[in-house]
Amino acid sequence: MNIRKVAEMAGVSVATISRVLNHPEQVLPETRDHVLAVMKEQNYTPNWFARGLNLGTTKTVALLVPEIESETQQRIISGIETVARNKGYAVFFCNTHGNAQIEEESLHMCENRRVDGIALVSTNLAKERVLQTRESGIPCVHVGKNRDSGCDTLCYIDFEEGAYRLTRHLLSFGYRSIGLVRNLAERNMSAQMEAGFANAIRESQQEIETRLYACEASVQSGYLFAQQLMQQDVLPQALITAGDGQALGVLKAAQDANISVPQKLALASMTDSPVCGLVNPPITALELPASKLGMAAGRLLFDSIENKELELGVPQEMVLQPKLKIRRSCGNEKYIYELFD
Amino acid sequence: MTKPIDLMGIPLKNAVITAAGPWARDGKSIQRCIDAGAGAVITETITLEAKQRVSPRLFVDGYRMFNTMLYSDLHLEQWESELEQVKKRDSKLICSIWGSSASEIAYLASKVERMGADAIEISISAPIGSRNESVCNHSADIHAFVKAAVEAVSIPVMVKLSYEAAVSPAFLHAIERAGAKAVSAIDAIKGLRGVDIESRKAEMMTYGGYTGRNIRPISLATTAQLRQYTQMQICSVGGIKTAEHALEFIMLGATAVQLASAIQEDGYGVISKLIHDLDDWLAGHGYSDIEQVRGAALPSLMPFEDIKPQRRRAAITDHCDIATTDCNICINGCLYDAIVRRDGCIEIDAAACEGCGLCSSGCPRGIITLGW
Repeated sequence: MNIRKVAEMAGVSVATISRVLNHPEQVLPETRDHVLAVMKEQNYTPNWFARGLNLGTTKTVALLVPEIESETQQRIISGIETVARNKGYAVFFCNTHGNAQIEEESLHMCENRRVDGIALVSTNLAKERVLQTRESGIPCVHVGKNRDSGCDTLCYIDFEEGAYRLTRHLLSFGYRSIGLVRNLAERNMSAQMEAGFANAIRESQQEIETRLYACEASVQSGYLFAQQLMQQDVLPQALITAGDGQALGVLKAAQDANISVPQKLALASMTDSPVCGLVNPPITALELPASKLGMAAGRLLFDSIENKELELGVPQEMVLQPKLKIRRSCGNEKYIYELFD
Repeated sequence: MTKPIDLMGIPLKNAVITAAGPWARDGKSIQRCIDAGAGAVITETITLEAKQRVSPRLFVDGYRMFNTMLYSDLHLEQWESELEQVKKRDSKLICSIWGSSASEIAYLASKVERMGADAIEISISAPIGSRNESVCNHSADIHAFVKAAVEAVSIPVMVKLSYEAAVSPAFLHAIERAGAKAVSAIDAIKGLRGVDIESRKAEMMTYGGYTGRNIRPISLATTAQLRQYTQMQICSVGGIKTAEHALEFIMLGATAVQLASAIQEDGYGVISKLIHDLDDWLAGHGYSDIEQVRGAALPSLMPFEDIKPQRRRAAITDHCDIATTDCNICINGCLYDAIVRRDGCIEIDAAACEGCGLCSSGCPRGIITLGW
C-alpha cells in the first residue's frame, strides 16, 4: 500500500493525502475523516505518521542569506516567506553577510532550534557540513547554481543564458571590445556569466576583444572601478556588470568624466532594479525572477519536508529564465524594442 | 446520448472542453463548468509565481474581444486547496501550466498531477506579454521542454499552440517526438483594438489576445492543416459557440473542441446548450458515435493547384429592385462590369461575367447563383 493507492481508493489526489498528513487543519473535516478512515482500513501508516501527526515539528523553516541589502535577495526572501505563510510556517531568518564563520554559526543555531528545513542562499558552507545537517534529518535546498553545496535539491536563475543574450544584444550594435565586470563574492553567478559571455562571442565568429574585471557590488565600488579604468585609458566599447549597483556607479563615473553612454561606452547590467529604468540613459538589464526563485526554493523545501517519508520523488534542480529588458544604454533607440524583447 | 470519446487515452463523456481561462480560475468556477456538463475542464494557466491582474484587461468592441490576461493569480498552494473542493464526478480535469524552463515545467507538471489532474496542457505561446514568455520562440528548446513534462508525470500531456506554432511542421514534429499526445489550437491571435487618432494613442496599453468568432475561420484552417501535418489528436479552439461550430471542427478532424470567449459572452449556460444541441444533431442524423462524422469534411478539401479552372457565370433567379441606397453589393463588387441596374432592377450580363462568385456568395437575399 502506498500513498498513490490510498489516494485512488479514497477518491482524492495525492496532494490531498499529503495535506491530511502534514496540514490536517487545512483540509475539509469530512475529507480528512474520509481519508483517515481509508488509511486505517488499508492499514496505511507512514513511519512518522505512527508517531503522531506533526509530532516533533516546529513549523519553522530557516533561511540563510548572504546580503540582505540587495534587492534581489530581498525578493528571494519574500518569495520563500510567501510560500511558508501559505503553508502555515514561520521563517527563521539569518543574515550571514557572506561570512563563512557566521554561516557556520547560523547553521548550528538552526539545528539547535530544530527547524523543519533550511534554505541556503548562495552559501559557502563545506559540502560535508551541509550533508551532516541533512543526515540529522533537516532537509536543505540551495539557491544558486552550486552542485557542491551538499544539497541535492537546488534552484537557480540561468545567468549563463542571460549573459549570452545580453552579449548578443551588444554584439548586434557592432561593439568590438566588451568587458565583463563580475562580483567575485558571487562565485557561481560569475562562472555562469563568463560562460554565457564566451558562448555568445564564440558563436558570433568575430574578432572581439574581451576583458574580465571584478569589483564589489556597491555603487561606490562601480564608480571607483570605472574611474580607474578611464584613467588607464583602456576603456572598452561596452561593459556588462553583474549588479545594478556597479552599473549605476559606472554610469555616474562616465557622466562625471564626460563620457557619453552609450555613444562612447555602452552599458548593461545582469541585474535589473527600479533605478535602472529611472536614470539617464535608462540601463538595459536582465529582469531576474527573484521572487519566483524564492517561491521555487520554498516549494522544493516543503516538498522535501512533506515527502520525507512519503517516497514521492522531487526534481533535483530547477532553473528559471531571466528576461532581457532592453532600454537605451546599449545603443537601442526604438521605444518599441523596450517594450518587447 | 452519444458514445464517450477518447482523448489521449482518457474517456471523455462528450467532446466539449472548456479552454484555459478565467472561467476556470478557481474551484468554484471549475465546478460551474463541470456542472454545466463539460467533458473536461482546463484550469486557468497555473505558474510558479502567481501573476497579479491588470485592470482593465478585457476590451470589447461589438463582438470583437481582446484580453490582456496572463496566467492565474493564485499561488500553487491555493490551487491545491481550490482543486480539493472540486467534485469532478464524470468530468475530467486538465491543468494548464506555463514555465520559463524545462525544469520549471516538469516541476509544475508533477505538482498538478498530485493535485488530481487527469491530463496536462502546456501553454507555450501566450500572445500577450513579451517574446520571452513564449517558448515557441525558442523552437530548438521545445522538444526538451515538452519531454521534461512528459517524463515527469504518468498522465498524458497536450500542448496549446499559437497559430504560428500550429502551422509549423518542424515545431509539431518536435512536440510529437517529445511525447505529447494532443495539441490545442489555436491560442488567441495577437491584436490591438485600434488607435485613437485624435490623442494618438493605442486603445490598449499593450498587445492583447484577439479571440471570438472572427478567429474561427483561422482556427478551422489550422485544424485541417494540423490533421495533414500530425498524428496527434487535435482539440480545436477559437470562436466556437454552437453545436454547428463544433461539428465543423470535428468534421475537419478535431477530436474535441474547446469553448472559451463564448462562456464570457453568454455565460456558463452556453456549455450545456452546445452539448445538448450536439447530441440532438447527431441523434437527429442517425449517429450514435461522433466518430461517424469525424473528419467527414476532409475529403472535400483539395490543394489549390488541383482545382480545375472552369468558368461559371452568375445568374439572377428573382426580381431584385432593392433601392440603390440599401444595397449595391453586387454592382460595386463586380470588377467586370457585368452587373447593371436597369429601371431600378439588377441585371447580369452573362457574357461579361467572369464567374468570380462575389455576387452569388455576397447577395443578402441569396438570389444570385453561379451556373454553367
